[in-house]
Amino acid sequence: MSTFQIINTALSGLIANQQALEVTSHNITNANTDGYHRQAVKLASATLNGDVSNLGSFTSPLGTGVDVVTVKRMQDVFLQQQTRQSMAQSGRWDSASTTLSQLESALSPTTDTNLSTTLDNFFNAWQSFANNPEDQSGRLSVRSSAENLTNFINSTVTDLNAIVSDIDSNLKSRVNDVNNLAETIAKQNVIIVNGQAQGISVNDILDQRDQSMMELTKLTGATAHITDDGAAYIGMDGKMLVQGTLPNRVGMVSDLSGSKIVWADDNSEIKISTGEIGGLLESRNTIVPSFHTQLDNVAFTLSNTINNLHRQGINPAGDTSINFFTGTTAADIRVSDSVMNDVNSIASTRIAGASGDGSLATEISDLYRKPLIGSSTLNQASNAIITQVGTAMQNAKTNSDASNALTKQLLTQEKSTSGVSLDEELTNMLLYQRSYDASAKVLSTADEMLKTLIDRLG
Amino acid sequence: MRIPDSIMTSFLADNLSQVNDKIGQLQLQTASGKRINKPSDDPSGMSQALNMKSGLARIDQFQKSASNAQLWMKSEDVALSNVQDMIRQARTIALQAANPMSDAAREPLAENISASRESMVQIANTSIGTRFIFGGFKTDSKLFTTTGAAVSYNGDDGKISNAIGEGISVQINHTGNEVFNMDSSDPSTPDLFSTFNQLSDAIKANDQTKIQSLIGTLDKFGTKINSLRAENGQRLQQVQLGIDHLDQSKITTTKLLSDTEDADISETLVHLKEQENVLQATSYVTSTLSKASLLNWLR
Repeated sequence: MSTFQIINTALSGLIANQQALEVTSHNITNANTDGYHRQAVKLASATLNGDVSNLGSFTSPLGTGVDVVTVKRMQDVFLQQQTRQSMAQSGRWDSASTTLSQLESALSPTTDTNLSTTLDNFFNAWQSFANNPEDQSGRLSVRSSAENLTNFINSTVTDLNAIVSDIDSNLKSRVNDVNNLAETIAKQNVIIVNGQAQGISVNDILDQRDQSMMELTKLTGATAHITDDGAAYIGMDGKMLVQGTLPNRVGMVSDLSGSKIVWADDNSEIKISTGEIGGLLESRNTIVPSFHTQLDNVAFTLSNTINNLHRQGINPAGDTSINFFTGTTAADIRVSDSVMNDVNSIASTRIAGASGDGSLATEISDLYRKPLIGSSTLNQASNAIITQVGTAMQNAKTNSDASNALTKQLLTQEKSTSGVSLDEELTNMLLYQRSYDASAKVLSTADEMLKTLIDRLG
Repeated sequence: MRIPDSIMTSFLADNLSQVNDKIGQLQLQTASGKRINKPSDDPSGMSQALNMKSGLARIDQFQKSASNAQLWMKSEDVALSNVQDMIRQARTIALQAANPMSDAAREPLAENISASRESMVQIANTSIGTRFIFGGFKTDSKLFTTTGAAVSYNGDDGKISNAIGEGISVQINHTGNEVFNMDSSDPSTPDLFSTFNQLSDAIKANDQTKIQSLIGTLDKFGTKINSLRAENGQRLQQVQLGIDHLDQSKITTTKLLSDTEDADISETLVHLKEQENVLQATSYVTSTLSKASLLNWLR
């Protein structure tokens, strides 16, 4: 034991506290960095050469100062995984509720303008026409209400198609994101595996990789597995998206039956039911088509039943077998050309020359209360569409609220381990600064001791 | 639990955005006066509201239809009562002519009957707007035309009905054949116009037996038109009942609709005030908390 040892010991204190202050400063500057995990120095008292067994008979009862053993990255792996899964759910319901709110405003622009009210107007116009069949204005209002109705149905379908292509372009950019993230994670894997093998701190790359994995899970719900060498393996639907340092690629295929995500290497479909992509796929392949089918049903029934009756009628010109509507789907239903060209093509009666007879118009107006689609009237069927989109939207919103709340809760818990508390860092700063000062004081004391020794003996 | 700074700020930001979201919703409800502004606000309520709105639109339509029926029937009643007056007048004249009198005195009586016949043709052509009411389904052209002594009818037997409720319709017309007996093939009961014609001729010719038998015919017409008016009156009553029923269900449905989709304004305003207070409190906490930091004391 010598005075020089004191100097070395004090020096280790200076170095260790300086390093600790460096970490504190790193923490403080990254307090608002997304995905940053707070780091903490782990100090340990140092022994000579760090290994007691080499000392042989020369053993000192005292240590040789302080040593920075490691800079630890504070994280809770379990909570992190849970957070990612919850984010996948949030992503799914968020993207579903975005689509549904678009659908909602397409199907029911306002509570007073929707399929149901335009149908009401149409049938009421027929009723009014039936009361005054000689009156030209009755014919005009039947035609204009029919035009409103077909325009509404047509434009709703146009909106649905726009929503579908919107979803497709969204999916395309998400697929791009997935490929980019897979590549990024593979690259980060390389750095992390090499770094850990060489014992270099890779904490900040780990932060970045966690962030990439979180984004990937939010998109696809893919699960990650970290191997012993530090590489992340990410699987999706039974196949690897990132296999250590090797990224795979995904692509998107759209056809009449819908859109799907496929592996780029063998074009096999990847079933994704959660994450933003899962939500988009569900909207694209299930939700929107179901409303489209229901609209088609309404349009088909409307066109068919009204034409069947109207063809039996005789118009003032004596013509019969005239179609009121053309087209049989929501996309192509229109008021027929003959009616568009001349309102007198509309028939109110089955009897030739009976200009005052509105009995056929009454029959058409009475279709309002006939069960034409299963056991529902046209009106009930269109109400059902509006109610369904409302219920689906409400459901998606509830689920999205719930999963977002859970995500937030989990993030908070995770952050309580990994987040930077400025107060805490400032306290640490004080602590390390004082220790640094004290070590310096020890150094100067040792120096004085040496001075005393040298001066007196000199 | 450690509370890092990022959690603190995200807590506050979340709370602020939640409160703002609620305030937005309440403001929308206040502005529109409606509790349901889109289907997802209350899907089952929306469905009920849609049904009630359809029902109301239907009721409005039936009300129009019923008042159309009323107008038609009232016009018919006026026309029929005019015809009745003329028959009564003709009968009086016929009775007068049954007394012995000079040819010169009979002449104006016969003229009077002919003139009545002319105005009766006009009454038979009564129209509402452009619709001739005694023509059956042939409502679009003049029905009764005089050619010399004969009056011809070109209407048909169409029965016109108006709907006055879901599945309820009422016949609103009587045809020329029913009222004026235009389709008679029996020479002993001719149509009303010929009866007048024959009466005028009989008075001129002082044919007493003919006059007596024509008085009998006029009586038959009188009874018939009376019963037509009674029938018309019954139908009018039915329409009135229908209208009363429609009014009643309109009131009930409107009330139900309002209960379903309208916002209770006072309640909404109270909630709004509540949320504004919360917002104020949250904002205050946000501003004070962000000031509290160890940094303030380290100098």
